[in-house]
Amino acid sequence: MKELRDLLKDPKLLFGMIVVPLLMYPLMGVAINVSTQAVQNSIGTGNFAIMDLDGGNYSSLAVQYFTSLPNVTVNVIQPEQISAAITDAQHLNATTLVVIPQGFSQNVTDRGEVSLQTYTPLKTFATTESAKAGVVSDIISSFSSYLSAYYIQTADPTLNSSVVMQPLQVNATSIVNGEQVDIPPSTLDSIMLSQSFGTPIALMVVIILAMQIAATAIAVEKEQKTLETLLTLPVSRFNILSAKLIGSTVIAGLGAVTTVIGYTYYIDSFSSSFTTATSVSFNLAPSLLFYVILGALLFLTLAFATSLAIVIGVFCEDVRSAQAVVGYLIIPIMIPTFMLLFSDLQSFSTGIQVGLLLFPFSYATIFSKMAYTGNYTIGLLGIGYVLLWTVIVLYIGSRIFSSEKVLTAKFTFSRKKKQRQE
Amino acid sequence: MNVVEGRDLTKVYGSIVALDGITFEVRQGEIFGLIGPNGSGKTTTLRILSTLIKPTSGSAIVLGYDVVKDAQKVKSLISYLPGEAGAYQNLSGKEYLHFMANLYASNREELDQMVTAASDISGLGDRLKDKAKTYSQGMGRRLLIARSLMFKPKLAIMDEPTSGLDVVHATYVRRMVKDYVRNFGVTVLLSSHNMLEVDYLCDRIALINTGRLLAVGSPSEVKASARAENLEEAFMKVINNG
Repeated sequence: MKELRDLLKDPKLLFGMIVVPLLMYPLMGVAINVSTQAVQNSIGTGNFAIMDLDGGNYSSLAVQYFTSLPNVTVNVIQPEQISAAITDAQHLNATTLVVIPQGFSQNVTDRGEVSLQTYTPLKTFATTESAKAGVVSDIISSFSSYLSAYYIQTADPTLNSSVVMQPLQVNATSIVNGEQVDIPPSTLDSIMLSQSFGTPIALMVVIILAMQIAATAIAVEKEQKTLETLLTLPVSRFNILSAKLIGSTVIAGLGAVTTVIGYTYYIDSFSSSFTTATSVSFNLAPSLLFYVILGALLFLTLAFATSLAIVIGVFCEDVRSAQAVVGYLIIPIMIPTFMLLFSDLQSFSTGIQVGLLLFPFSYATIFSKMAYTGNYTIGLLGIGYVLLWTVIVLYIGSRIFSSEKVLTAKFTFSRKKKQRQE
Repeated sequence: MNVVEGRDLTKVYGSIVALDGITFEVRQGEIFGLIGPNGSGKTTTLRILSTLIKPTSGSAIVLGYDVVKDAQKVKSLISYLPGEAGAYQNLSGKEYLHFMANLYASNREELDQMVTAASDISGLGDRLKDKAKTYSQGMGRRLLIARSLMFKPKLAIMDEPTSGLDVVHATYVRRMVKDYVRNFGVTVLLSSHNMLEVDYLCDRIALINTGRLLAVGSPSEVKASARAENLEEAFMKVINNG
């Protein structure tokens, strides 16, 4: 309890582990929401200017088509020089000036190819600008479809113009784990991808935090000169080591929960802004067994990371040295995780596959991507393998901790520097 | 009855002999002082007796238990105050004492008694509510001394209890230790550089230099055998002769 109380009373730790993850992701989500809202607000009502240089029946029809569209403000500019028209359009806050050239009506009459000329001044290269231009482009495309339908109807009134324009409809069914789902594979893939990213990223964040705390657990006792007293209290050294381990893991677990909560909010806010078509509900949740195995694997990976960091921390004389050593250790942990994040294990050569499987930190990432496959062998294998490593590291740790090395081991960067200076 | 019995205690670190076969006893209810210069082996002796490190050879019996074989039992009977020690910075003085008392008390009543005793010993009053990181060096040392005495250990081992303290704090600590021993029959084994302190506090002393014990006895006995007027002079004479 002392471990937890002491850790929880450290404002730096509380802020870094609990408040930052809890606020960081939601704030990022809010920022993205605000940003996308701003884009949507600015592009929500399309605003463009149109100048009819043709003056024929069909060009008048085109102007009428555009002005009748809902949520679109169309400013009609009387024929004049192009440069003057562009300036007028800008004064009217129009995104684009659409010019109907001479001969437009004649070409429609002849059922020939017609053209429109657009002028879009780009003030900045922000998303809002290109999105606004995109809206105008969509509106013009809709007029093209309208014109196609008109050509088809007038050529053969018996034809259904929408069928002619898109005669092929694909009804996509994905088969996942033997179950048929009426969702296109591309949509499903993007959903799975976003889910399979969450676990490894959250795990990586938590591992880094847990290792930082655990590595400093012993170093902070040395730095605050409390270690000698602690070791003479009527508590066995193994219990002290276990308390350090549990304290760091619980704090890291709290960090994991806040990170996952924050991350979920972030993903939700992100996806709700952009995905409307993919909000399909489908019964494809991973089984309870998957979550049990993943939970055990995550916990063991965390316990292994914490044990490793504590053992390293024993050799460090102060908190700064402990943090520096763990900092170096995080790099080799992150590289395989990133490799597995973007590719499947099977996509690597056999040598790299073996290397990744020998690495205890890989299993949680590999398994988290197998949510829908129903193959839990790798997860169970991982539990055994990571547990074995945890026991080995804990054994080494308890041996070191019960020896005099815990008092005499000195692994410090600042002292080496001082010695060199001397 | 002897509370401590050290026999031929030797400690070697690589090529350095920190303790070279010292033999001594500490009797029940006395304040025993280990006196010696820096690097003489005082802290090594105290660390062996408090189970922190193991002797290379020789044996140490504390309250009838071997410090190596029965380390856990020894730890439950003694308290150790290192020369350089601190309290947990994020805990208040009171919380620190509670945490420590919890390890020794068998029930709530006992725990409260220990914390009350420690509050009295420390004399820190309301400052016990503040976090330990806000304490001055003297206040911190008083808190730690209170911690080491609050559960009335059979043997309190103190490595330089007043080192780094100003006169006011040092005087307070000395009086506190002396009163506690007299009132509760606690045995104290301490190390010190301060001859005035040793003369005032200790019933018996041992002079130690380069890992060897040079003289043992009451301060007056040591002074008499060295034909010295004070302990400082006795110490220098013994070192030069040894």
